[in-house]
Amino acid sequence: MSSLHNLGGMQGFGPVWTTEEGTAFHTEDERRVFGMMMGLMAAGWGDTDGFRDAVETLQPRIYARECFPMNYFLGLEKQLAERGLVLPGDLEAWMQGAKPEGRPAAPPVIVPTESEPPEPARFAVGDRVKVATIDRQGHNRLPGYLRGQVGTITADRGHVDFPDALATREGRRPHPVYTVEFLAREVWGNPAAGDDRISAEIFQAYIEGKAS
Amino acid sequence: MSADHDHDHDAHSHAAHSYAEWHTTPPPDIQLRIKAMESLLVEMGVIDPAMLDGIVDFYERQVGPRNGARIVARAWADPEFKQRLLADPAAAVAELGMPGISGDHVVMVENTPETHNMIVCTLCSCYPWQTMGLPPVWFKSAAYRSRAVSHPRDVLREFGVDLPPATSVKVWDSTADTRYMILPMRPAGTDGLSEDQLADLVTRDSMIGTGLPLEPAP
Repeated sequence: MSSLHNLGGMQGFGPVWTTEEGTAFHTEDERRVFGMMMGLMAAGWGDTDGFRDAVETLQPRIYARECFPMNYFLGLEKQLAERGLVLPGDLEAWMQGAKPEGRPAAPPVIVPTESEPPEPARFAVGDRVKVATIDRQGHNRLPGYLRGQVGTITADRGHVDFPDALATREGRRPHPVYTVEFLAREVWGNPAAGDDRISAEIFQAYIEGKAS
Repeated sequence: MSADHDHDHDAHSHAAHSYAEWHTTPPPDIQLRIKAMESLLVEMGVIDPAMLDGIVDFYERQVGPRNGARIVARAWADPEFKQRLLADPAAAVAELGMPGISGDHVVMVENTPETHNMIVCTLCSCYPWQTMGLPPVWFKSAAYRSRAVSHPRDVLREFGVDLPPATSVKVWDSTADTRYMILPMRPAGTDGLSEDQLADLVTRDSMIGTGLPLEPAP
């Protein structure tokens, strides 16, 4: 079901703060957490969709604080605990000078290396398709505001590893992705949107079928 | 983990903090845990501090919106490059020879008098790191992600962009591996400018689609 990260079309967050200076990092914590995220991914202890899943499933009151390095750190901490590297209590012990013992030397195989045959593409550019109406459980990349909407495929993006399966570590399942264009006035039921459009990348599993 | 105190303040009540600092400064107990985690991972040999410094330095000093601006300026100055850029961004970006910069998975979207484009990631913070570096804090914010798709013209007005009603808006929600970057329209009155001078007019926001390029100095 939708969680707080699935933000498209929600209201109540106020105007966008537009005045920020363009620097990559603003605080030492932001630098440290970014470096750790990248370093853990390079070392095989982290992966993008598992990490996204960990952040998306933080308590909403923490996610909504929008302290980005905190959210990313808590996601990273959750992933490392799941993978047995840094268990709950380890950091407290380490802050007292005790290094945890008996931790795995190598990361678990997050994704089996042998690929399944890619899912065949069922749709083509120009097709009118209806996005699945029923919400998906667990980590997925379907924006909630597009559920049940009808759009037109404007590009075939080939195959991308299916994020739902990556997050649960079921494996690498190459899956067709399409760019689908929607009319904003239909999505939001707002005639004033005129010809404004929304384009999103939709995995084939999120498509119910061709629309008439 | 007690991450739940100290953050029911409104961002605006932190007079000493900028908006960006507020969203990038964890509570003190989390700061301690971040430092401890880093030193523990180094002690365990999982991460290498020199490598982390290298990663941070790359994103701090080598990748950023200036790279994107060079790409846009070249496209403005050289119509044939622009056609190659729209057709095969990875190959065209490689022509510019920026070390470590790749156009993989980047798709260029061209603004026209008929259609203004802008990018968002409603689900997280997907952004064309490859050509523009890390996203600004507001790009990751709920305020932007929620309304960029539902009320793009209102959001654009908050950025000071008031589009003519005849121009339609197209919002690109980055939900898989493709990363979009906007090719803004070349401003009028720039015929005599060099590529470097053109690049100075290309703002980060103009490549996100929440801004327009700067006007040339009279």
